[in-house]
Amino acid sequence: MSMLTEDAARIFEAPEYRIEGPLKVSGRARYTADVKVPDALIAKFLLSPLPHAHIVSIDTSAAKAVPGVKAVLTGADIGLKLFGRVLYDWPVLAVDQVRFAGERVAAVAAETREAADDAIKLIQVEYEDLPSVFDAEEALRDGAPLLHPDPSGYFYGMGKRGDRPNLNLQGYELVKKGEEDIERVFASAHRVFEDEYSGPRQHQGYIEPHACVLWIDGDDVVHVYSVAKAPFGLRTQLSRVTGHPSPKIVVDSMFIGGDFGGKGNVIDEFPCYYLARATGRPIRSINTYAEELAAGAPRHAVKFYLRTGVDRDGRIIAHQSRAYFNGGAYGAAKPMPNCLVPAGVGPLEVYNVPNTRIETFVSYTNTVPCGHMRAPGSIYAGHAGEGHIDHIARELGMDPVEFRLLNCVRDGDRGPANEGFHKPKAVEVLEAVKRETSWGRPLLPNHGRGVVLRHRHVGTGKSEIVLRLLKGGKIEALYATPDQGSGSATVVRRVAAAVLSVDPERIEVRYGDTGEARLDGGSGASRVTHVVGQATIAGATSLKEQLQDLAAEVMGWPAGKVRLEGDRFVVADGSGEGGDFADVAGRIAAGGEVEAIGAYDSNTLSHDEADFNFYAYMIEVEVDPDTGRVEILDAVQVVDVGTIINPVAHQGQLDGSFVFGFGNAMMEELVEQDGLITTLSLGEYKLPTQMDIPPLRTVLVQDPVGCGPFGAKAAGEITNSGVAAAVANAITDAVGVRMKTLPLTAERVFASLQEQKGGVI
Amino acid sequence: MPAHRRLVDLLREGLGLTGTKEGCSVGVCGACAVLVDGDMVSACLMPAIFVDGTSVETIEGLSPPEGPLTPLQECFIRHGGFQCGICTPGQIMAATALLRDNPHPTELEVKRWMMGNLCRCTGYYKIVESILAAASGEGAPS
Repeated sequence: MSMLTEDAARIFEAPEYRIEGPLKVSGRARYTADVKVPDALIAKFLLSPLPHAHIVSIDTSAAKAVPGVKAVLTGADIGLKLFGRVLYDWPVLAVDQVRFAGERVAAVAAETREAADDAIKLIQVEYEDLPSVFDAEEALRDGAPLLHPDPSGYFYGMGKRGDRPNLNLQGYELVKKGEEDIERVFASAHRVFEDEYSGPRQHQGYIEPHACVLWIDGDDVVHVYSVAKAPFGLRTQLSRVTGHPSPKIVVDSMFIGGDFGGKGNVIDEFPCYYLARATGRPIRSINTYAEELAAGAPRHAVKFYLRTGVDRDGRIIAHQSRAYFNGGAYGAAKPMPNCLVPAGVGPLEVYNVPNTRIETFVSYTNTVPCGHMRAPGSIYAGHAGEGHIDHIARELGMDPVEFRLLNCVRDGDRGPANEGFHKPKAVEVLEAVKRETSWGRPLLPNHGRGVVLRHRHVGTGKSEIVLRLLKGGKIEALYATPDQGSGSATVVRRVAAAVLSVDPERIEVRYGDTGEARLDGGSGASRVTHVVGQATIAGATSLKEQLQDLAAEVMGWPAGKVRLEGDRFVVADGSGEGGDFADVAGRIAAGGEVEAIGAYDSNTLSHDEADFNFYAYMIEVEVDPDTGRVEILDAVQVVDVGTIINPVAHQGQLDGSFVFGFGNAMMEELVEQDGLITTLSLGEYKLPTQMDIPPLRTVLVQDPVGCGPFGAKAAGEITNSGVAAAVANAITDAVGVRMKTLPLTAERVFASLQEQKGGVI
Repeated sequence: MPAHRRLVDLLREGLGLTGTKEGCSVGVCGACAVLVDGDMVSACLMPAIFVDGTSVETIEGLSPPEGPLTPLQECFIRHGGFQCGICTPGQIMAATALLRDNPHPTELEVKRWMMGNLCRCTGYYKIVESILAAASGEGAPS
């Protein structure tokens, strides 16, 4: 259903009370670390202190002798068990070799945390150093140590693994468009511009560390409470790794205390399974935040090389780019085909470029394995691409907004990777920047403005939801999408109510584990409103038809003439008076169960034009030339949106996106030295606080044409990726230096200013 | 009780009061904020033995399971002051302490006071809005 109905508009405009609100504001929402299971043992893991080493020997005898210790396991005990989301290349516990500092070498289960900690300290491991490589490009040079010389035994979950020109590549992709010999096009260009941009590893910064509680019951059913945002995915992985049949694994994720991509990958559920097997006891594991920062699955560090040719009118005619992502020691944490980071093709994603040659390299290195973080890689593609575009515009003497307007995609155009767009809104958001912001007005000294134009796809996938009539005039919606904070339960309630034409209060949304609820792809990739929303429409439509037929039957009204509308059953031909929903539904429910399954798979959409949210930023900064400090004075995000289902939550996603992107832009960096992460607390890995946040204004460019329910689009990971580029472009406008490395700290800006003056730094 | 046992362990593990959350464990994120004799502390930093003889107030103490929420809790719901909810008990304990001490804070006073409570979801704007709404009398039972 894509048209916005009157019912839907009325329901969506009403103030929203989040279903889970009372639980969350009262501390009663149950997160994984809150789960108490009787007799549970505490799990702790010994992490490798070295980035690359051969394990000569492990002695666990002293650890096993600690009172209260029930099991100490190493790779020798469980064998080489490899886990992953698509590529299974990460050992549950290291066997013979460690490939990054932080790799799990041994697992302990003990009665108390103190006993577990003591045992960890008493495990004796003798290592023999191996040559390491830490940089994504160095890993691809001749003579670099190979991390995975024989990957033939790795399971790959998406058919045949793509060709890789180098064994130190987790994945490689070449995308081309237009002229085969792009050098010929570059040779014909009026001007050619080249730039290099880079960004460091960054952490998702969720406040809840990874945790799991796992036990095996008397019927050999494995129960897992997990922070995994894709519980069905975890069930599949656990089954493949352990050999335990999938129907006998039940995963319950429910409330997740912050995700931002970081809860897509989980690690400790796998060793906890073996600890539960070894001890016959439930196992509880809660990471420390230091472990999260040292050995989670952060955002990749990246280097982009960009080259773009324009004609005499300023039209882009050719674009070439190479992106080197530092994938770390394993590709396991990534869910995409060939361990690729999709943003590799993203620097010029919003422009109509006829000829392209775009390469993405994801390297193996002896560093922490990297995963996804809110719009994976897109912040760096945005910083690189939009900085590059800004550079070209200024060199050509063109206004950066006008240059973007000249080159951005319009209806019928295709992007640099030949992707199609469904009603792209690039022009509309840029026009809104001109109309709604201070762009182009006079500036004070050391003040500058930057603009950015980017997009984010509306996510895709599959989901199923069960809607059933309960006694008492309620309708239950049962689904397995974990709640990581976006408000999806309230989306389901409002969409179901809109389709059924009943009071939203009648819809009781309930989360179910993988044993009870039906398949869901997980809360990620900006897919939930679209995919779960459409599944809800399918289920509610089917339930409504059943209820109308049953109402006719139990009330003696003419078949085919009953409609449910305005919270009432109405008899269309006037042969009956109709009745309140609750009364009639109560009679229907007394006759037996009424249930409908709503299923949706976006892959069945026939057209090749995908839906995107386009967006633009206009940010004004003041730069202190004496210190390099950058202050954001004005930030306006212009966002192309579809129908908005939860207005408060929708704005919350846009607010949160901006501040997330602000942290990424200005302060966040997981510092790595010789393969070790050195920023090991939230005191050193600084997240934005209340006192850091600048004023923000949001301008919505609304058109209900999205592929989501009633024309909705996505909201969760749109504008975060544009902040860095907008601030960097504003700094250039203010003081002339172009900041090509993130984050944009005062130190880095100051160093660039010194360099600009020719000073020694 | 072991001398190194922290207040957060006593609350969460010893007493089963899991409304108080543990995030960073180093006193930076504020997820474990509780009130000890009315003063806000990070329960991850305070040894449990220090609260002997004091009154400790946690999120569970603000509203009974089936009873009404406080106006501040109501305002967090109405204004979208939470998303994932993991920092929310700490935010609400911190804001409760603020409003008891200063019932009508300015926006800047709210931001300054709440600086020690990290939220990765909301971007803070709606947290400030929620607290200022409660300070203006919104959310009180009518």
